[in-house]
Amino acid sequence: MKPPPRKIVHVDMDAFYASVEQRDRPELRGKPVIVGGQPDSRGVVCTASYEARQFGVRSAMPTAQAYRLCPHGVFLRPDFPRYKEASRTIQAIFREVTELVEPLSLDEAYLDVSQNHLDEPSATRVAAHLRARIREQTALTASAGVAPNKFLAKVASDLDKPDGLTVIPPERVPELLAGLPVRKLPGIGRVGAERCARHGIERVADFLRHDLEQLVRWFGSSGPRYLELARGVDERPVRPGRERKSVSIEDTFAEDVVARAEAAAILDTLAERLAERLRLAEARGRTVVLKVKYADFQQVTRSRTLSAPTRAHTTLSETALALLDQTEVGGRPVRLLGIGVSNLDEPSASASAQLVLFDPDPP
Amino acid sequence: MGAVAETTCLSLRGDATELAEAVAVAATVAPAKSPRQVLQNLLLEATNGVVRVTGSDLDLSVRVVVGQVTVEREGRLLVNASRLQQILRELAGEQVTLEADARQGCVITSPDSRFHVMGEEPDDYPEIGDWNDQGSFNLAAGDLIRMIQRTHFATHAEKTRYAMNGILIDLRGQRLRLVATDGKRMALCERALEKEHPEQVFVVVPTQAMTLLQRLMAGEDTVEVRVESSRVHFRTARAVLSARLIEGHFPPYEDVVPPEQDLKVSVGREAFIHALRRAALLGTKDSLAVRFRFHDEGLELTSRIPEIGETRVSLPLDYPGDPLEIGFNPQYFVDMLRVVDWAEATVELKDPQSAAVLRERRDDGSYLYLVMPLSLD
Repeated sequence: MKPPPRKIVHVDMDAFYASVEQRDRPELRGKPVIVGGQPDSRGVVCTASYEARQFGVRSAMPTAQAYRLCPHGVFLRPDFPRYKEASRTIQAIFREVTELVEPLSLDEAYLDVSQNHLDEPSATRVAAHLRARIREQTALTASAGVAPNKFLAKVASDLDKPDGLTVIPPERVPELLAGLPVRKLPGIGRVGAERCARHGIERVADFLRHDLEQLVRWFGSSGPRYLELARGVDERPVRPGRERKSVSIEDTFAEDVVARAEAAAILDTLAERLAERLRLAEARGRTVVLKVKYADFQQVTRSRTLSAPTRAHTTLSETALALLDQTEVGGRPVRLLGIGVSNLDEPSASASAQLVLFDPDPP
Repeated sequence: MGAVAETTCLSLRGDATELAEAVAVAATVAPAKSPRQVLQNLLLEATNGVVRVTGSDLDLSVRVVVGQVTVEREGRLLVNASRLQQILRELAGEQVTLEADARQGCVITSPDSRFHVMGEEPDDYPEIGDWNDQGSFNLAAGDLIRMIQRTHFATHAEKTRYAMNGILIDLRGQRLRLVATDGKRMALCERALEKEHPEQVFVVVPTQAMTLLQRLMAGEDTVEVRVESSRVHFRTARAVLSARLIEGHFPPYEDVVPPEQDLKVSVGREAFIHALRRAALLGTKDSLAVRFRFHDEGLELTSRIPEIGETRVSLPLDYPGDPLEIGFNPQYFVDMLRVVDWAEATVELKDPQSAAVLRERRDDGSYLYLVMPLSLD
C-alpha cells in the first residue's frame, strides 16, 4: 500500500537579520541595510535588506563589493543575541504546530505537518497560520512553501518572496520543474551547474531527456538522485532536532590545481570563508579536516584535533597547511579542496566563555 | 656471581602491614609502564638494621623507611612494584618473612602461604642520591600539609604555556606562600615563619610530588627542604622525596589579587556545597556553567544544558547589594569549600567580569581563593 503523500512546509524568514534591524530601528526602514562585515574589512554580507538587493547586493558577497554596489547603504555588524531571540520565538511557534521541526539555521526550517497539533488537514492553512503567528509575535515576515517533500517545499518558498505563500500541488510539479535552473537542486553549485551545462542540461527537466545509465556515466553516484529530484521525488524525512556535527567549505576548480603554492593560497581563502561561517553559526570546532579530491576523483581526508576549539582564520589556515603536507598535493593534480571543522562546541557553551586570570602569554 | 649473591641475600621478618604501607607509597611513583622497564620495580634495601623501599620515575623519587621489621640479613632486592604491593596488601596483619634467593628472586612467606616472585639485578636500578644537608631548612610539617591541602586542587592538569601544573613555593623573608592556579581560579596560602629565611625560594613543584609529600608528612613535626637548581628534596623522619622542578614561568599571581570588595555575601559552607552540587548535577565536568543570581531573598542557581535539561536551586541568604547575575563553574567553589573547616564562607563580589574572592585572615597566615566567572550571554 502506498503511504499517503506527506505535507511538508518550508518556512524561510525574509531577509532575517536585516529585517530584525529594521524592526528595532524604525529609522532604517525603507533603507538599504547590509548586515555583515564592515566595508573596509575582508568580511562578507550575511543578509541584505530587499532595498539593498535592488542594488545587486547579495548574501555571502564580500562586503567591500557590496559597498561598491551600494555605497549609501547602512552597514551593520550582526547582533546575534537579538537574532537568536527572534529565532527562539519563531521556533516556539513551529512547535505549537508540530514536533517534527528541522531547523536549517536561525531563520529557516522544515516542518512535517502531515499530522499536527492544530488538527488541520490543510497544509496550506497550517502555513498561513504559521505566517500569521510569526508576524503577530515578532513583527517580521516569513515566506512559506507547501509541497509533498522537502525539496519542492523549499523551491516553493522561494517562488514568492518576500511575504509569500506558495503551494505546489502534485499536478503542477512537472511544469514547475521544467523551468527551474539546475542550480536550484540540492547538491548542485556553480561547478556542478557548469558540468551539467557541458551535457546540455540547464533546466531541471533536462535530466528527464536522458536515461539513468547515461546520467550515471556523467555524474556518477549523483546521477540517480538528480533523476529522482527532476521527477519531483525526494524521500528525505524531516529530522527534528538535527544537530550540526560539522561546518565545512569546499571548492571544485574549473581547472585542476597542480602547484602546491596555489593550493595553499586557495586553502587560506577557504579558511577565511570557513571562519566566517563558524562566526555566523556561533560555533567553534576542535578537529580540523582537510579534504582533497585528486583529478582522478580519488578522495582523501586528513584531520588534526587541536587542544582547544577554534574559529580563528589563522589557526584554521595553518592547520590545513600542515595537513596538506600529508597529502600528495603538489605532485598530483587536484580538482577539489575543502576545509571543515568537526567536534563542534555548542553555541551555548561558547557563549558562556570562561574568563581567565592571566593574559595568555608568558614573557 | 659470589659477590652478587652476597648483596642480594636480604632477609626480613615483620608485620606485612608495615611493609605494605611503605611499598604502597613507593609504588605510587613507580610507573606501571615505562620504556625503562627497570623503573617498574621497587628497590628494597636493608643496611645498618634499617629497611628502606625506593620507587622512582626519575622525575619523582621517594625512599621510605619501613618501621618495625627485623633485619635478619642485610642486602638489596629489586622486584616488580605492583606484584609486591598486591601480595603484601593481601597478607596485611600477618607475620611474614621476605627473603631474596640466590637468583635475585623474592620469596615471601606467611604462616599459610608462600610466594616466589622473579626479581631483577639491583645494580641496574638508577642511583637515587642520598640526602644531603647542605643548604637545607626546616618547615613545620603540619602547616605545610594544610597549605598543600588548600592549594593542590587548583593546579592545571596539563602542561600549559605558563607553568601551572604544579604548586609554587614562594618563600621570602619571614613568609611562606603556596600558590596554585589553572588560570581560571587561584588558591594562595600564606604562613608567617618563626624566623627569617636567608634565601629567597621561588620554585614550581609538580602537583603529584606535593600531594605525596602531604601524605609523607602525616604525623611528623618538621620537614627538611633543600632546593637545587632543577630539583627539590624533602626529608621527614621516615622518608625522602626528590622531585624535578617544573620549568617555565609561573603566572604573575600577585598582579591578580584584588583589593577587598565592598559587596560581601555570607553563606553556610555546608548549605552552599549542597546547593552547588545540585546545580551541577546535569552538567559535565568540562562544560559546567551555572547562573548565580543574587537578589533580595537570596541566591538562585540555575543551569541549562542544551538537549539535557535544566536545574534551579534556591539558597536563602542575606544579600545586601543590587541584584547581580554572574556565571561560574560551581565545581571551582566545591573544590575549595570541602578542604576548609569554616562554618561560614564569605564571598566577595564585584561584577560579572571580576573574580569572586574568598578569604581567611589569621594572625599567623592567610588564605585567598579566586574564581573567575563565565560570561553569560
